[in-house]
Amino acid sequence: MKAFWKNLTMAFGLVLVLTSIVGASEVTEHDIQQGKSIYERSCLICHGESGKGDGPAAFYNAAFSAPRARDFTVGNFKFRSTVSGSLPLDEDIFRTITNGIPGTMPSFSGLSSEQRWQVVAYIKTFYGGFQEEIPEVIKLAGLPILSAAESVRRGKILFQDMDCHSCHGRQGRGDGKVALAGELHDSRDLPISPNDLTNPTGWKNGATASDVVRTLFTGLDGTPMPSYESQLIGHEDDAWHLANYLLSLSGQN
Amino acid sequence: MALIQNIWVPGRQIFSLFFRSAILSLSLWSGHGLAAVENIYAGTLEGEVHFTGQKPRPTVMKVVKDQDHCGTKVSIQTVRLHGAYGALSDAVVTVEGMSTNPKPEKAQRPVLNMRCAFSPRISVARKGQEVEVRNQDPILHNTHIKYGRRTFLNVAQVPSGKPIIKRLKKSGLHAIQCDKHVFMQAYLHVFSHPFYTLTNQTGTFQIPDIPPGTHTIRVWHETLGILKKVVKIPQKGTTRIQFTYP
Amino acid sequence: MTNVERFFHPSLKTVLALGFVLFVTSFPLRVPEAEALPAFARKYQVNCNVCHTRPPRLNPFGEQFLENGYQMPGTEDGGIVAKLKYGDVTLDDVSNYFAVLFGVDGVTNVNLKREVPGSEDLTELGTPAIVRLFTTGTVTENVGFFVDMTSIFSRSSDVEIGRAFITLNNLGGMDWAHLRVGRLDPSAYFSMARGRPHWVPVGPKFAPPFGSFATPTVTQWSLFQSAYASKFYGLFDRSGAFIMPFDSTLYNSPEEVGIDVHGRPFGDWFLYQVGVLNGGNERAGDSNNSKDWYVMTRFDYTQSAYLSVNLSGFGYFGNHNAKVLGGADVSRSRYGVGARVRYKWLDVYGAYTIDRVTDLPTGMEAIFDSTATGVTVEAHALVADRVLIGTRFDHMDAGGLLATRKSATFVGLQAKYYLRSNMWFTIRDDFNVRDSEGGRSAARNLRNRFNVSIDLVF
Repeated sequence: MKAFWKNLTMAFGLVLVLTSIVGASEVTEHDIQQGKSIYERSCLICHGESGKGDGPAAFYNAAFSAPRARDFTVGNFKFRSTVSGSLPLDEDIFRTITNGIPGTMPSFSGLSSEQRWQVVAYIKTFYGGFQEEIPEVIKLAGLPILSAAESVRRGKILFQDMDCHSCHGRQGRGDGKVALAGELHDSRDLPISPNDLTNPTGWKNGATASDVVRTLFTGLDGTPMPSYESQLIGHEDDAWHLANYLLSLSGQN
Repeated sequence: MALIQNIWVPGRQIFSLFFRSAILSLSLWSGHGLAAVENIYAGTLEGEVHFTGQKPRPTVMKVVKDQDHCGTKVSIQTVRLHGAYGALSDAVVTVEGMSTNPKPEKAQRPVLNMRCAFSPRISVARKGQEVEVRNQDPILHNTHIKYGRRTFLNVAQVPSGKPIIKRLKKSGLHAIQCDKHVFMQAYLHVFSHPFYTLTNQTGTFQIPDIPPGTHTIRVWHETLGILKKVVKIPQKGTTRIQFTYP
Repeated sequence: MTNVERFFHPSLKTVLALGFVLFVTSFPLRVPEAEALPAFARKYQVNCNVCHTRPPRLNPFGEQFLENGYQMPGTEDGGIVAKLKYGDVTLDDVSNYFAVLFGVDGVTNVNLKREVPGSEDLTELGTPAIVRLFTTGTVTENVGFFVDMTSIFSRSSDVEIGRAFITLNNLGGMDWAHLRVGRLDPSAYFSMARGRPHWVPVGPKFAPPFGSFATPTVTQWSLFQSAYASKFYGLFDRSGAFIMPFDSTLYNSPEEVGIDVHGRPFGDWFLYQVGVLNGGNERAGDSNNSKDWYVMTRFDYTQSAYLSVNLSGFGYFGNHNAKVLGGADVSRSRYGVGARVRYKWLDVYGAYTIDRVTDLPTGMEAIFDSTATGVTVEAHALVADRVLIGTRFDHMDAGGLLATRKSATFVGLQAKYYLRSNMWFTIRDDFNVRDSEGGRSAARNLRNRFNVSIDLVF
């Protein structure tokens, strides 16, 4: 039951986030300048002066394989709540700065929320597309489905049907045939490994069912992970079943 | 005109509309209707693209996944030659430096079919058109379209699922790949003007209605690279040009 | 026999090396991304390589974290991330504050020229070499601490407190001044820091006579950064104990009691450091109440293109921090420059130092060389995600008593395989590039040392 409420809160959270766009205040030049000075102290060392993800410490995380610090000048953002190929919402960037990315990027929740918004404003200056494009938010209908044995069982069938195992492996250990053949690359052409779904610390885009559903809908741009939106739209229940199964692999839920 | 056509951003549509009508009335006032503009562009470019020399060996790629359906190996020949004189098909020919054409275009929507390969492998489209990708295999594919390093689209397509349709918003080279089957690759060229075409099975091409003047003609081939030639297009009549790889 | 022949001659070595390579390559090449996470990594939920080029050496992000008193720049959170329970740091938060390094020497083969009494070639197997416990973190915003306790089994089974200090950060403004008080390592922010060595220092072996103002016989040269070594023959500490020419001292001491301030008041390009120490490397107190002090400046380029370059220089001014035979006080000082370049997979750094002994008693100048120099250059290349190869050049132009002093030049080759980012195998060989000669000289005596070890930090 706890999980149900968690999911429900998350879903409401998403709605709140989406409505807050309307209320988002104008970004001023002052914000961008503040964001720049925070960026240079807190972010530059990995993401680089020009936002290309080539900061002095960017190389070492995985060295010759992904992930490397995000290149903000390309317009690829993995963690979004928008459709494949779309730019992220400001809230998406804000969420990543706040939560960090397990394994690779620490949380910057130590910055005040005002400071984090200022950093968001500055990061957006690295890519001109933010001035031109309007992010297209995923459409997620229906209510979350409580994780239960039945839901997990149905998710397991979907996992096989949707061919997740080609990359993530039959047991979800990130050892699918395509992955083992070394055929997967990211947008920098670095070899990339599919997430080991059995590892509870591996959920880079968040480890709640709603995070996983969001990932299934958005895909992870710049990586081989596609969006399943066209298959899941109208079958939102399936998305929740799948998410419940995926989280059960690492003993969560 | 170039300026106006580049402004496609929804937020600026009203602004753009305002200028459009302003210029329209300006041209009407000066005695040039849009019909008159069409008639001026009467030059046609015709040409051929050839390949001489040893035909490269096809690339053989291993099939890792879905061998039952796609086989264990895939042989890919990017240099597709026809006839005795090395006529090269699937080269993209375009007039460089052409930014816009005010005339709205009703070109055919490019459709890509997936049958363990994208078909066609090389296609061309106009910015603002939609592209459609259909999975005709009984296996799952993902269509990953990139321009430059940015993901334009990366969607999973289950067997007999709905086709993916998406509007092309940027001009330039779009690389298409299925990450699950990396041997499945294709290219889609998107142009912001109508002066482009593909060479056909006889290695020939034709681009009509080119504005008169000196233009650079550019030929792109997937593996053979880029060739360029400067050509003078007169007010009327046909200009012929020939390209030879390598 | 040349050194090269020496290296290849004993077939045992070849067999072991081959075995090691087979052993290592037999590990599955794809290891799950999950890493066991030592204290800071646990606290911030990131893997080790976020802060290290490869452990234990720091990358520019790790240096920034260190300089800011174990706080990420911009998130001087006062340990909020770690303190999950009751508001104060308690034992429940232990995993975010403690880390343990455990090193085991798998096989060591030492090749000596048997002219020094009591020395002979030896091959040792599987001695646990080192256990080090770190306790570190921040207790509140801009206040942190660091304590490390080490037990080196081969030396003694006692546990020694290494560094133990408190940090007070961002005094007077962001990055203006960071203060450390306690037993600290002065060279932490220098281009080639003394700590976190990719080349674990190998201690010397020595034979009697021991005791006050006695000069022990060194039977095996220590393999250590010569630039940081004491370099002088015939010096004693204030208690009369012999100072090994290769002990890490002065600015590059692993730990000395004092106060140290550093900061970047003008931006990222410039760092200053000043400090005062008891000097003399006394474990506690300052028996003659004289202080040593030092100043260091460092210039940095850290912007983009996977590149970071820094250049630094220091002066360390000693004040009656050693003695010579007979008990007279002398002062040792050191001046040095260092540089480091990191570009993608390449990491090169080095230091050159000049040591001087002043205040020598009259008459001693004739038998005592009061100047010594040392140079150490290390280069590492990350040739794959998990493989680091490296080489080191070490040269000491020793000073001190002319009758006994000997200079030494060593070259090292090393390869590390990171099974995980916090566990690595090291295969290492150091060899003497000077000709062997007769006499009681450890510098010439040690010809070659081959070692395989495993380190785990968790």
